Amino acid sequence: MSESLNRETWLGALRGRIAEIAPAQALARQAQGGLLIDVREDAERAAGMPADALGLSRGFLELRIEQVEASRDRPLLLLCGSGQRSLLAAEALQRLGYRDVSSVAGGFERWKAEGLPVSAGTLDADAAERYARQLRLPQVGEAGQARLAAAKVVLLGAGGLGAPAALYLAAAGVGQLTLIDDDRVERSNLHRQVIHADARVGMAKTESARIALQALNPRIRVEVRNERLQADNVERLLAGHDLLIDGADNFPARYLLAAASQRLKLPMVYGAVERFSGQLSVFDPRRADSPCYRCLFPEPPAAADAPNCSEAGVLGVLPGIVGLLQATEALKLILGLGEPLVGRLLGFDALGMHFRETRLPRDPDCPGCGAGAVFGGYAEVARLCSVAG
Amino acid sequence: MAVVPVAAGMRHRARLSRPPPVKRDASRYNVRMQIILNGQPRDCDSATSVARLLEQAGYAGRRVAVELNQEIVPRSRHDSQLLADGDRLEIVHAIGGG
Repeated sequence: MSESLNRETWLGALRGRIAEIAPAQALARQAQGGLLIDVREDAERAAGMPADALGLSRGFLELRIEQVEASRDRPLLLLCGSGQRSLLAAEALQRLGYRDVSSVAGGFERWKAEGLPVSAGTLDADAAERYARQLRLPQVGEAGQARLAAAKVVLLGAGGLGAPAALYLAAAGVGQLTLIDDDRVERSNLHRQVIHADARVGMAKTESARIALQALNPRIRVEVRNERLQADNVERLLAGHDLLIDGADNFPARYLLAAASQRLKLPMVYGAVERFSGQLSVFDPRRADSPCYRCLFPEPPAAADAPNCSEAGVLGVLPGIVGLLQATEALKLILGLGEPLVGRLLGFDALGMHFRETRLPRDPDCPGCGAGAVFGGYAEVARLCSVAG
Repeated sequence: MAVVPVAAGMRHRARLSRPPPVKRDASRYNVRMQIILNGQPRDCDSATSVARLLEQAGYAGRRVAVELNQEIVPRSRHDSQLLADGDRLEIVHAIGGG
């Protein structure tokens, strides 16, 4: 080449080699199975992009395209802001062997001007890759991923149940996890609370868990509340969330959580473990047919009848299993998938390796959710538990 | 265990101060019956309520849940829910670990 290229001659040359199509044509080809890729930068796409397009900025295009689409035969439709960067991107993909590449003339500006469908929630390349295996599930897809990203979940307890649940909810892309726990990591926690680490013994559990969660998925927000759930803070701590995961290791916290679940109309995913067995259920006050925790146990047992893990012992895998079942129910509730474990109590017995399902109807005279139930304040709930001991 | 509360249709039997002698023909209402509690067969009076069974089996005041034929009996129904021959019951304990 005798003269160096300038911008116009380069773009001109590309126009001779790369098919340019109108936005409406791109939309039609997308509907026929073509992959529409928005190659603008993450920040540009944050303001909106063509519906169901894949966000993959031009800077990472060559590096990541094969993970996103390995087939060289699928039609690729490239879009940028005005139709220039998409030409350059198309050339790069041709060099990588993609045979059917076109550039959307006029880019996103023209796409919008022509009133074609736009989605606000956008998946950038990191998200597209990170969540690729669940995005493939038609029941999740981009819409489901957006629901996960918008969800705010409370984990009461960053211990045996909270730890495995939090890890998988973070990995799945639940937008905000709020960890409530006032304990510190002890070495005796580590055989089951695998979110923590030997080097973090002595650290606040919430902070230790936050470190592990952000290392796994830096995209989500982890809020830590170094507090014990009490009558005077329960609503402040739980309000503004979408779902509660019960990983409490004591009955006062569990009864407060159950009461707040009713008052705030937030579904509560209940789990508990002891020795070799566990229990699980979903109490969803948004549903008229759903029982609450107190339909099952109106009052807490005497302390001697219900020892916690430090007293009774527990096999380390038990909270892992039950915590992940809780995470499963949480994901189903957020995504609106399947049959939630409402009105059913699931018992797990590790020694016999049995799951046992029991119908759990509402108690019409339940002191927590019955027609005649009178809420006397959270202090009264706390008192109920102190009397029980 | 002579007089036990029974359903309305059987009230005339409840007035008897003692159960009639166990005879095959005339004993339809007060026969002993067998239930399965926590996997073990157990004899009890017919028309035994869930609450009465809990007392007899040593669970009085223990605040446990009771599963009858794979369904939890609400606490408020423990007095009125009567057992029938062949019923299977499981005691479900509140567990505290998390």
